[in-house]
Amino acid sequence: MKLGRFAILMIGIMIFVSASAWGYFLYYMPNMKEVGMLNDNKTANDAEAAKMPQAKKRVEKAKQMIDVKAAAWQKYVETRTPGMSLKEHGVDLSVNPWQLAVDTPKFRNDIQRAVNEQVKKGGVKVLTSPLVQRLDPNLPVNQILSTFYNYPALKFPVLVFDFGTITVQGTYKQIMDNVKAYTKMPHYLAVTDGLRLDGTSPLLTGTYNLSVVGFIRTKKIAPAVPEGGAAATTSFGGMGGPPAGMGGPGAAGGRGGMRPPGAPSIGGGGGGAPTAGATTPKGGD
Amino acid sequence: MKLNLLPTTVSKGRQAQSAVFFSAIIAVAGLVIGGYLNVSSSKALDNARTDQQASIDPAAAAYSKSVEADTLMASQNSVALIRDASLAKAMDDHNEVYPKLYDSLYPYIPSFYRVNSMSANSAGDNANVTLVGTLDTFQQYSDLMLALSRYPGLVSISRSGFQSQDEYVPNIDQVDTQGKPRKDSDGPIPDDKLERLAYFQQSVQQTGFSGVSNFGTGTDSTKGAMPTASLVTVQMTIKANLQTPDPRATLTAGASAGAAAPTAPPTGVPSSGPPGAAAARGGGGAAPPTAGGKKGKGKGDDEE
Repeated sequence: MKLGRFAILMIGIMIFVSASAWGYFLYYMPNMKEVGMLNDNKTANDAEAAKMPQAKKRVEKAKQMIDVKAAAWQKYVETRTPGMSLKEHGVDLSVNPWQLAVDTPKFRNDIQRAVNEQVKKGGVKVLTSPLVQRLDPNLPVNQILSTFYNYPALKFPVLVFDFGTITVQGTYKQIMDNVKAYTKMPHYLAVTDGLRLDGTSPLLTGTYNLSVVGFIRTKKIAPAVPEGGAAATTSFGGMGGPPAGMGGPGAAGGRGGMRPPGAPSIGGGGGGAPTAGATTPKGGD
Repeated sequence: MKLNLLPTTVSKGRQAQSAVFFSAIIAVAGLVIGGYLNVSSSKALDNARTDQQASIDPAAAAYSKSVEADTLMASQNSVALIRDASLAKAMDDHNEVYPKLYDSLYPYIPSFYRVNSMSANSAGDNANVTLVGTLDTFQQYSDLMLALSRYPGLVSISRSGFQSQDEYVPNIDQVDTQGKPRKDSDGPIPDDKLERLAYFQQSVQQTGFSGVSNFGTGTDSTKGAMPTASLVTVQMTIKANLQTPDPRATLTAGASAGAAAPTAPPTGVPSSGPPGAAAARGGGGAAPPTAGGKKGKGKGDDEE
């Protein structure tokens, strides 16, 4: 059988179409589609990369903002927070809780002295003065941190005293000076609210609410000690025998409750001493 | 007649050769085109891949740099630092808010209004100020409103408590046929001379020192309204933010929102909490708008 011209040409054309279609549909089209996607991706990446200067600025800005805040906070820390020991009008929370039970009332008295001094500023006569919370001497020592220092409830030992209503008497200027003076209260931050003036000049009565905050500076917090159930079972039968719960590893202790968050537990009875210096204190003296 | 003895396929064979030739050219062209499409697109794909790969690192670097800022701001110490610094500043600033508010109000209190009590409380972005004081006449009662209305930032003002001491002309009756002016608390003034004498004699009640409202007592206690004066209360709503920072709420919120504190907390820096402003007993703690100061007509009697 012999093929005609037209048939032969058609064969060539079919081969042409097939080869072209093969190249186009099997390679060109999917490849170019992927190229398009890759180009889009590259464009997006380029756009993202172009943000580098902005990102650097953001980081710088964030650092600056933190530095500014840190500097501002540092000023407060230097003058508006209690010291790190009793001698510095503060308290040392790294001492063992038995000692803290002795130190805290002393510290409390120091706070009261500071408040007493502050509430008289401006030359006013104090009619109703604030009383700093007194600690029950029989309070379990492991509860001192939570009761007085609001720790770990506030994740950090901090004194917060809401004293309620304070009443002072004096002239208008004396009362205003008295209220403004809380802005410079040494070792503590204080805020007054709801100032009310009554009376006939020159003898006015000023009434306001007062809250005082003391950020405790400490590098570590002593772990809790065995107390409570352990102490109750202390045996007096043997001379010099250690109290129950004070023994070797694994002895019942009940120390976990006051362990600062994140502190490792050491041994069976260990409370896990806070790791000192885990975070560098920014405002240390 | 010519006789064609060649087979019919002879001339057609030559034609077929041409067709085969052209057909082959067309087929080869198709193959070339197909191959070109394959090669060129593959090359473009490779180039695109290379470019895309090259663009990943700078983009990733920029992204990580950007995230670094967020991480920096969201870190426990930064959050606590910002919160505590803001809280401390808000507390300090708020101690001057009330004195500034009262100082700004003073120039607008007229001298005839003797203030006995001054208080203010927060009402969102506004403040409600209450003044209690004494004044004598109904004219002063109106003038007081006009004087206080000049306070910049005044939203609204109201008054209450005035006891009128003015005489009025009553209607006539059998006792008083002329309608003689008298006070609201008095009865009709008789026309008859003798009855009128008796009327005035009866109206005299106090003959000695009464010490009304602590006047003349020699003590420093609050002086109330004189017998002819009224104790008037003025309520003003002004644009002033008296919202107080609440340290306990701020620190408590920070503690509950944040992660565990570091075991050795930074000096004075609690470990966790939301960034930014301190919680307020209703918000911020901005100072009230300072009034125009010296514009007032007179100062209150309470000023030192």
